[in-house]
Amino acid sequence: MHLGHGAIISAYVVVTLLLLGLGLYSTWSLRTKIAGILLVTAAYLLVYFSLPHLLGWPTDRQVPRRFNLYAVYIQDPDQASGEAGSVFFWAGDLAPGADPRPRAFRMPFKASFKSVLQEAEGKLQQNIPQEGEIELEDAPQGVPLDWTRLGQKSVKLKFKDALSNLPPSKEAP
Amino acid sequence: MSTESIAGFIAGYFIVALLLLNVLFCTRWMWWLKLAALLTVVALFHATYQALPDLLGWPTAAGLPARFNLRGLEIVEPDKGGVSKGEIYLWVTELNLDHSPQVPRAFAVPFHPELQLKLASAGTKLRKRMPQLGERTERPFDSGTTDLAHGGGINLDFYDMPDPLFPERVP
Repeated sequence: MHLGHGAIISAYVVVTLLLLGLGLYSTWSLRTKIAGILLVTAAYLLVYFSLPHLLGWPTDRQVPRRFNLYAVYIQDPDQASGEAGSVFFWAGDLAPGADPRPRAFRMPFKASFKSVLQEAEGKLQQNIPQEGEIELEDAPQGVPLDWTRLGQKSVKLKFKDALSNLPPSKEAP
Repeated sequence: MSTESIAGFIAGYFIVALLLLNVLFCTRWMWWLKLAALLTVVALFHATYQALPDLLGWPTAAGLPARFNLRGLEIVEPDKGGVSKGEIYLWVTELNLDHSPQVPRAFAVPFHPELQLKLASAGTKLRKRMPQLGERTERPFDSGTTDLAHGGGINLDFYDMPDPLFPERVP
């Protein structure tokens, strides 16, 4: 269980405690208290059924430092619609003890990301497993035009052949 | 992230805020209890907001589209000890013949040897740059080992994507 599940379970517990407090100690009429209970039950169900719709979509945070690349999907910027474009990749974290399931990531479109990802995708198509590595650039050059990205660190994406995952050569003794 | 799920979460936050307001103004709790409730809810709002990205990116077992464009796949076979039943992970986009931008989504479906064979073939074609169209089917597996309706299994068929239609030639 990771923080996501823990925080959402805590939210359920806290709401229940608040409702209990209101039911026992508020000056509400019985009808209003019942309405409150029904409202919270409906909210519980709403959140419960909303959760699966959140899962599976790519995240733009927590890209692992080293990862095994499974697939790439690139959306070029569209000048007609003003879409900034994105690069998506599907990868498994190579950190010891990490969740072995593949996870989907999204990064803003950059020509440099596109070229390295396309090269890595080409090698995947030749059955050469690709190991990705993220490097944080501590000293970003210039100031982003979009002020919401002021706190965002610039990253460099690198790939190399994951030779350790390949079957041994037949020529080897 | 779908609009319904965002609306669901906003509604959840709103109801908690409403409950908190009532705790603050309609109860005879001591002031420090009210302050504790206020701080707890604020901390909780922050924690759930920060925790949401932890949930994103991981494959989901629900909501695989009826027809989709296969972008990637990863097969985890069951182990011989029987501890892990195996899992098949798919990375797909909704079928869009007009090539409009799509966001890929990750799904997990139960492992089945027949599905593994179909996916291995689809994966080989993907690597040869032949886009693959996936389609859910209600037809049970030939071996009949999984009851699709009750066993939670999913059977899929894969086809080569049709070539994009060329626009009509204007005389």
